[in-house]
Amino acid sequence: MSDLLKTVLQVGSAVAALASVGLGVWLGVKWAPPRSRVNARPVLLGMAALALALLVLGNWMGLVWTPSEREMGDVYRIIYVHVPAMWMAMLALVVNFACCVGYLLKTSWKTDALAEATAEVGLLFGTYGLVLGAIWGKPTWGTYWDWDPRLTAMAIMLVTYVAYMALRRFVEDPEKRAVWSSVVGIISFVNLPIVWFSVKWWRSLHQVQSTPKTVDPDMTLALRVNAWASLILLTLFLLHRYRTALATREAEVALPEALPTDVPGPNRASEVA
Amino acid sequence: MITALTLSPLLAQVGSGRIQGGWEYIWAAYIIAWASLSLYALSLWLRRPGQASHDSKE
Amino acid sequence: MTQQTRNRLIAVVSLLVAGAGLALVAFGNIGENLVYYWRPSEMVAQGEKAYGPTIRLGGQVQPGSIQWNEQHTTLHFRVMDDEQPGAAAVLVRTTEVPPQMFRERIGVVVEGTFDKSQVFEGSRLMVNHSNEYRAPKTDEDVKKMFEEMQKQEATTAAARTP
Repeated sequence: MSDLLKTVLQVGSAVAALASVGLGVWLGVKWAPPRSRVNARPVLLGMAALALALLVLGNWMGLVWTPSEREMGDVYRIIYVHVPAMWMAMLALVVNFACCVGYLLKTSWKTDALAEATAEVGLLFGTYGLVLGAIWGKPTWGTYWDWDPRLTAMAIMLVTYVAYMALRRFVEDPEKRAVWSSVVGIISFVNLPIVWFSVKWWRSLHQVQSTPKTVDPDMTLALRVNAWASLILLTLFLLHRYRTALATREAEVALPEALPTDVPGPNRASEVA
Repeated sequence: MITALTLSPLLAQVGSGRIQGGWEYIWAAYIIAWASLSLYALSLWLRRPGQASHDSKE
Repeated sequence: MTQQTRNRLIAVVSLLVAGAGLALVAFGNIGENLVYYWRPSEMVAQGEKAYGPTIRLGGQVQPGSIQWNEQHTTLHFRVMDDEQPGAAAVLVRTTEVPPQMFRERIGVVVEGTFDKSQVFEGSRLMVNHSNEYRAPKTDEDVKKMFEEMQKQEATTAAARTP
């Protein structure tokens, strides 16, 4: 692959992903609310096609184009799916934290719906990322799992977000659900910096974060293409999940018995509509 | 269990310091990644608003 | 108190709780008490207290210390603190087949027991990987390098002869 092509890929994938995030935010405002008249189909199909194309390209680069690794041989190729998944999980859960704080500061069904979406999607990426990590661990470390600080912290974090999702499911009053889950979300978030820094703070089996300095340029490029592709996917997932959450919330709040009695109700209802 | 037969090539290279093969792990990882993403996309499609309520109400 | 102010109060309180929890973990020296593995020097310094319970020993494989008995599939090697000359080292004996990345100088974590014989009986052997990812120097690379060297020698020799 020529240097020009590499630069095009480097810049192009980043621009495509960031533009998709921008479009995603715009669609979240215009298209996701119930009864929106925006026809999002062409944009959504375009984004999905872009994500899929970049993902296939990234996977091909990871599996075929990049050289094998000095010590890990081919097994290191799992990095191209494991690392982007973990990054996306972290990103989604950071947004979740922002929504949880945001909801308590200024109540809005939109923030609550986005919190629901980010937790679920974050859990998806985190869970399969963890499974991929375990698979990678077997040939390299010699074990699928050990209770080292990084792995333990990550497992605990996933459990707390499963608890968060369970809480959301079991509390029927949308008002109470939103407040309680915000608190649980804020407390759960404590684990995220711990997961990130665990490899620096403590001795662990898992190595510390790699940087472009510790990874060969071609491998870095392939990793970035995969990561940007995952970011577009993340945007699409969040957008759709957010839309579903908004519709559910509207249906719940429209039911008279679910309406909270002692709240500034009118501006609640208008926010959804 | 690992039998002596499958073990023997392994034993010969103790201390080599480089992983040979292991494509079964790589395929497993990529398949799990793709499967998770597509199943989640499918679940989002099935849960899309308007659809379920149409089915149940009309 | 309105709903809004109550919610804000909840937000502040839960943020404080979360922050305190994080600070406790980050600066509370939890890592000091709950180490994932002992270095050889630390384990030896424990003296008799280290004898008996299953513990993890971590460090680097001492160069030249690997002894592999193929007949009995037993492996002996020494784990050292670091590469400093004179660093503490502990002899490990295990019947585990080591992961393929096992070699001299690689980081290892061995789970097992230590006793007064001063041999660490490993029941589980794991190796670390660094955060570096590099393309290998293949045989072809080496061959190419060698050929280029020869070519260069030939040209310099040719330049010298006239």
